[in-house]
Amino acid sequence: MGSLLSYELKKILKRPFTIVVCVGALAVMVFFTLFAASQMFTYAWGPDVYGSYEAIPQDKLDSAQGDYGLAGQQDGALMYTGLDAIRMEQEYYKSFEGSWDNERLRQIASDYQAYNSNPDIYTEEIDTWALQMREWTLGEEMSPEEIKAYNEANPIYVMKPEYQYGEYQKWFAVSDLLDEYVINPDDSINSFEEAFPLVEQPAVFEYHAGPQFTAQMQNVFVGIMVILMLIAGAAPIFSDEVACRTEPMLLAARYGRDKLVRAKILSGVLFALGSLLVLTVVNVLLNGAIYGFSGYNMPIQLDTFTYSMPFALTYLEYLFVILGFQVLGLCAMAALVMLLSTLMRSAIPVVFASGLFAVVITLLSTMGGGWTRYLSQTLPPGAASPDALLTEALVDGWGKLAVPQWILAIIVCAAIFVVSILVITRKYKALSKV
Amino acid sequence: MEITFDRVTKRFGTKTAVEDFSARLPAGVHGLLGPNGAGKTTLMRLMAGILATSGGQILLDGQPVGSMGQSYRAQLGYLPQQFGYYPTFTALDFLLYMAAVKGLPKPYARAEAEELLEKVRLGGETNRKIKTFSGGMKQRLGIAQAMQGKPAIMILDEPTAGLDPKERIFFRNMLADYARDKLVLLSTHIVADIESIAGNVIVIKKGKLLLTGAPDDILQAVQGKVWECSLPLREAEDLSARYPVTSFRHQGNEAFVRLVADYSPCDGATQAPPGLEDLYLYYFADEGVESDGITA
Repeated sequence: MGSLLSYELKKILKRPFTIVVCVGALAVMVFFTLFAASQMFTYAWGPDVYGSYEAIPQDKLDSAQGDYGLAGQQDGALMYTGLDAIRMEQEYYKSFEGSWDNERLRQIASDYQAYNSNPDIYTEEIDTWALQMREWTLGEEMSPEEIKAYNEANPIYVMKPEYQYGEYQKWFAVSDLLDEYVINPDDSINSFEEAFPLVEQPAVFEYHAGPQFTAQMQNVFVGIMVILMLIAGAAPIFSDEVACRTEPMLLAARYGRDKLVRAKILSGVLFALGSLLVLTVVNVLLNGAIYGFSGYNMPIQLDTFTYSMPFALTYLEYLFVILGFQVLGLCAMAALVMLLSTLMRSAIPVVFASGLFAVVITLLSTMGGGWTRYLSQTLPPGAASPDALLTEALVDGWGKLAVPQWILAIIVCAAIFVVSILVITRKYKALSKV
Repeated sequence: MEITFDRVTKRFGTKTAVEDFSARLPAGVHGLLGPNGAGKTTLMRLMAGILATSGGQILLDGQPVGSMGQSYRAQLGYLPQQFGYYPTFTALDFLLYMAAVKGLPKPYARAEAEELLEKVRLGGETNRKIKTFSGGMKQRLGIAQAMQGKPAIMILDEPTAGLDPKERIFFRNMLADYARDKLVLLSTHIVADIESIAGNVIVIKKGKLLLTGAPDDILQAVQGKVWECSLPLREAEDLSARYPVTSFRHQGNEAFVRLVADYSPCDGATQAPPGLEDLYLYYFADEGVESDGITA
């Protein structure tokens, strides 16, 4: 079995089409990771750059003014992008990093409120953008009339540029997280427990763009790329034996209908999981090299992107949950692709049929709510993206079942995997009765 | 060891490819003879267990091969009509892969693969990719594959297709040496190949058994029906239009003709000892045959 498996893997890995797709998938992932990093930006005010000004060489400061003078031209601020912006953000975070408990949260919120309450930092112009943002925050709890009255009673003025692009930049590290706590319109959030009910005190708070981007990339790009790699690798596993006219020799050989079939199935699954592992390692290391590895032990609820997650997880645990779902979704998808491969005489229609299936299931999630989204997130490859499962399962509709949707996704994926494998092995077993 | 075809029938939809075929194949080389579409390949695929019979059964020493599974396939060597290969594999890779599918132990498989490649004159090409091989080289690799593990039963569907005359003679000698105590079923259009190595010939037509027996025995069917004569060219051409001709050779203004006919086709015709080609032509004159440059 061992040597059969190694030969089957060799067959997959030596196919030019598979190599092209795998290299392409890696290249796309690296490109988007670097592109996302290049789009990072932050501001500094004149020479008084907040944070580690010393860390930024003068020549970069000069060139930045020339290259990225969008804000600077107008308001006298410098906009930093890419790695410079990331390093500056890391500096901004230092004021808030460490252990968070009720006391620390109260202190930070109080400082934030005091800073915002200082009239010296504002102009006399109303900040319509900030009001709009606040309306979105309040929108869940207040009627439009109440929001309008609240805004009139509590106006927000445009901040003076030396503050907005200067010291205030550091507050962006926590402002989204603190806004609801600070604004607290219905007086329901008065402690750490009430702000973050799933997070145990004391909790770690760190610069977490590394795990945040890693998780986002894992959910979206790795999820898509690994499906493409799987289809390219697994589609020819059985169909190529017909296309290459090797099937008769294999069927007439001793292990051609049992051990070989098992080795082929295993090779398809291992290739899928290997692809996932490679993409995951590249994803973690690449984002780690760009943003650093801090934040993996931080509860995901301390990040605004994952604030509403219904499970108490650190970023590291969250990444493993994503991986777990992806393993499950991939195994099911691999089994489906191989099943199609046994039914067709060439890899090309298998690639198209599998691709079509994946695209249709993925598109279902964009066709409004209800059963389409539910179906999309329960079947592979959609089930390989647990983000949707963990959050969308809470909304009304089909997701509100007695069995949580993520559990149903596990059951459905496992069932697809088992049934597909059974059909494949039975097909060849039936042949052995000839 | 004996393979028995017991009233074997194979139907594809409404078409019957093999009908009520019965034969006993003891150890030795058995040549399967018949025109295109006669059911040779179907019969071989049935024997290799790749196709299921629609009726009847195939037995190995009295045991239905369908119930034997692995233990039957472990004794098989099979070269299909169209030899398939993996373009990215080298010759050695391919044989080692097939050895793994056949369940041969690793050290033995490697030694045997190298030995077989030498035997089929591919010893210098072990690490060359198969996609760069000529048709004849691929066919020789296919033959080596069929011989892996020294199978007791070999099924060779058109093994000499694509081989040049020298390679064919070499293959025939190799097979004759190999098949001393084994059962080999060989199908080919090249009658001379069967004539030179098969101890038993099976002639099938439209899926049915027509004749079977040792070459000398079945040739009795055309004994006294093979004629040779030399005639003026125009008369010879007239004759060849009326009878199945196995040889037509120009000799100045005349032509030498060898043909098959129940009665003397012309004055001066002399009877000649029959060969398998004559027999083939006698039964399949209307279906076409290729043989060593002779087409009827």
